[in-house]
Amino acid sequence: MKQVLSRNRPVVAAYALVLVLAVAGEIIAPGFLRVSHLDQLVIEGSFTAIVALGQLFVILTGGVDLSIPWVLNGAAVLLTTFAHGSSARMAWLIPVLLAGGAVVGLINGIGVTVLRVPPIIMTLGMSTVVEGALLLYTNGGSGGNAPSADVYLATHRWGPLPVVSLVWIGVLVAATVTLSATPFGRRLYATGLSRRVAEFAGVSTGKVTATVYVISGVAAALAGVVLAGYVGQSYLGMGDPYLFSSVAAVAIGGASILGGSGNYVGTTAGALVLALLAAILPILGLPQSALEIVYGCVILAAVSISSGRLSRRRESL
Amino acid sequence: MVNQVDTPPRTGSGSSPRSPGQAARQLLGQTLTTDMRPLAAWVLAIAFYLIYAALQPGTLSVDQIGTLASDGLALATLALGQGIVILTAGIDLSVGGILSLGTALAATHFTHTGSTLVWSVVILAIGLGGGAVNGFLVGWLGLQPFIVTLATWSIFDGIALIVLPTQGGSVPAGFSDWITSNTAGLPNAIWAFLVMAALWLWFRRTRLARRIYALGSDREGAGMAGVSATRTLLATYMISGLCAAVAALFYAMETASGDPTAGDGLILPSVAAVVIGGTSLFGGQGGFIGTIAGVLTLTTLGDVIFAVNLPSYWTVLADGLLLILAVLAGGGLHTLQQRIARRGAS
Repeated sequence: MKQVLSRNRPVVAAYALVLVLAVAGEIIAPGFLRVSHLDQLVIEGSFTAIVALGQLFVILTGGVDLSIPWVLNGAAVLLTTFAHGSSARMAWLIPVLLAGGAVVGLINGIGVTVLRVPPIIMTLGMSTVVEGALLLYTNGGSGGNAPSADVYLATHRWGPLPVVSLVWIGVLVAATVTLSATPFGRRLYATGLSRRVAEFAGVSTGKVTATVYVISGVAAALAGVVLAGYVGQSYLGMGDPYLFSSVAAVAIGGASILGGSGNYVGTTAGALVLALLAAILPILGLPQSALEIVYGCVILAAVSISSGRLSRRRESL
Repeated sequence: MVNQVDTPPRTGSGSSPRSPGQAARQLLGQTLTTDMRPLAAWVLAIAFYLIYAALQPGTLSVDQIGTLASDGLALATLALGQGIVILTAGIDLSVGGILSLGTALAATHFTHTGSTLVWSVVILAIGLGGGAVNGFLVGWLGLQPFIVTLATWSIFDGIALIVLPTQGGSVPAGFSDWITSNTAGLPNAIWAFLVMAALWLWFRRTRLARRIYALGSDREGAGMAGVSATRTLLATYMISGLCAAVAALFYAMETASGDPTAGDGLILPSVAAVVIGGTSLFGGQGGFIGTIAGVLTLTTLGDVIFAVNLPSYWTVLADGLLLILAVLAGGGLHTLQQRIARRGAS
C-alpha cells in the first residue's frame, strides 16, 4: 500500500487538491457540497474528463493533440444537424460520428508516424482543416437543437447519479484496464519512455502511436455528442475551451508531458479539480474568462513541479 | 518540440580528398538545403500572385501590391518572431494570445484615454514581458516550448476576454489611417515590409542570431562552443513576444477595432508562413526572407479564393492543408539532399 502511494504521489496530490478545493468551496459558499451541486460539478467535469482521455493517451507517447476542439465541435454540429430533433436517429448517428472522429485521428496518426510530421504541427493542421470543412458545411452558422435523448444523456439524473457520470465511470474503467492490464498499455508506456528501446524490444511503436490519435479522435467526438446534449444545441467555437482544459486535466493528474508516465485515475482528479475551480471562480466574483487564465497557470505549475521532480530523480540516480 | 525524426548522420567528418564530380554533387546537395526551399517559396508566391492577376485584371499595380502588403502585414510580423523561435527548434503558440490581448487593449484604451503612444508602449511591454516568461520557462526550467506557450496562450486569451469580452471597440482614425497611407510614393505597408526585411538582414549578422542558429542545429555542440542556451532562448522568446505585440498594433490598424480572439486564427498561419518559407521545423535552417514569400503565398491564396467566388472559409481549410504539405515537401527536399550528399561523400 505504502509503495503504491509513494509511486503515485502526483495522483495522490491531485486527489488531495480535489478535497481542499471542495472544502474551500463549502467554506466560501455554504451548500457548495450539497448533492445537487455536486451532480452539477460531475456533469460539467465529464466533458473535460472524456476529451482528456484522448489527450492523456497522446501525451503518454510524448505527443499532443491540438485537433480535439474542432473534432468535438464537428461531432456536435453534425449530430444536431442530422438528428433534426429525432432521438431515434441517434442510434446510427453516434456510431457514425465516433467513426468520423476515428478517421480524423487516423489521419493524424498516419501523419505523425508514416509521414513523420511533428505531432503539434500535424494536429494543428488537421484542426484547421476540420474547422475549415465545418465552416464550409455550416456556412458559418450554427447547427440545430439537440435531440431529447441526447439532452437526457447529458443532464438527466437517476436519483443522485447523473447519467453522464456512468459514461465517465465507463471511460475510467476502460482506460485504467487498458493502461495497466493489457499488452497495448505496456507497449504504450514503453513507447513513451523511449521509442528506441521499445523498438528494440519488438514494440511496433508506429502502430501504438497511430492508435492513440484514433482513441483521441473517438473521445473528442464522444465529448461533442454529450456536450451538444448539455448545451441543448451546437454552435461554432463550442470546443475551444477543451484544448486547454484537456491538457490541464492531464497535467494536474500527474502525467509527464514528455510521455511515458501517468494514468487516467490521475486525469480524473484533474478534471474534478478544473470543475471545482470553474464553480469557485464565479463565487469569488471572477468572470468566466478567468478560467482560461487558471488553465494556463495550472498547466505551468503542474509541468514545472513535475520537471523539478524528474530532475531530482535524475540527480538521485 | 517532439522530434521524431532522427538526427541526420554527420557528413564530411574525416573525409579524404574527393574527385571534382563528388565535390560538385556535394555542392549540389548543399544548394538544395540552403537555397532551394526559400527560392521555391518565392516561386510559389509569385505564381499565386500571377494567377490572381490573371483572374482579376488590373491587379499588377503598386497600389494593389500595397493592399496585399497591408493584408499580410500583421501575419508577417507575427511570422518574423515565430520564425526565430522555430530556428531554435521551438514553437511559440502564445503569439496568438499576445495578439488578441494587444488588439483588445488598443481597441479599448487608445480612444478612451486619448494616449495612443503610451498604450502602444504598454502593449509592446506586455509582449516583451510575456516573451520573457516563455523564455524563462523554456530556457531556465527546460520545459517543452509547446506546453509553456500553450499555457501562456491560454492566460493571454483569458486576459484579452476580460479586457474586451466581445468584438468591438475602436481605434483613433489617425492611427488606423497609417496603414493605408503613402510615404514618398510608396504605401506604408510596403515600407513596413522593407524595414522588417532590412532589420532581419541586420539581425542575421549579430552574435545573437549566430547563437540562435547554432542552438537550433546542434544544441550540445553549441553548448560546448560556449553558447548559453538559457540566455539565447530568453532573447528568442522575447523577440517573438515583441513581434506579436507589434503585429497586434498592425492588426488593430487594419481592422480599426478589437477582437479578443483574433490571434487564435493566426497561430497556424504564422507557423505555416515560416514552414512554407523553407525554415526547418527542426531548427537551424531558414530565415525571414523565405518567410515573406510564405506570408505572400497565404495572403494571395485568400485573394485567389475570393476571385474565383469560392466561400472565404476555403482559406481556413487551405491554410491547414498548406501547412502539412509544406512540412512534407520540406522534409522531402531534405531527404533528397541528404541522399545526394551521402552519395557525394561515399
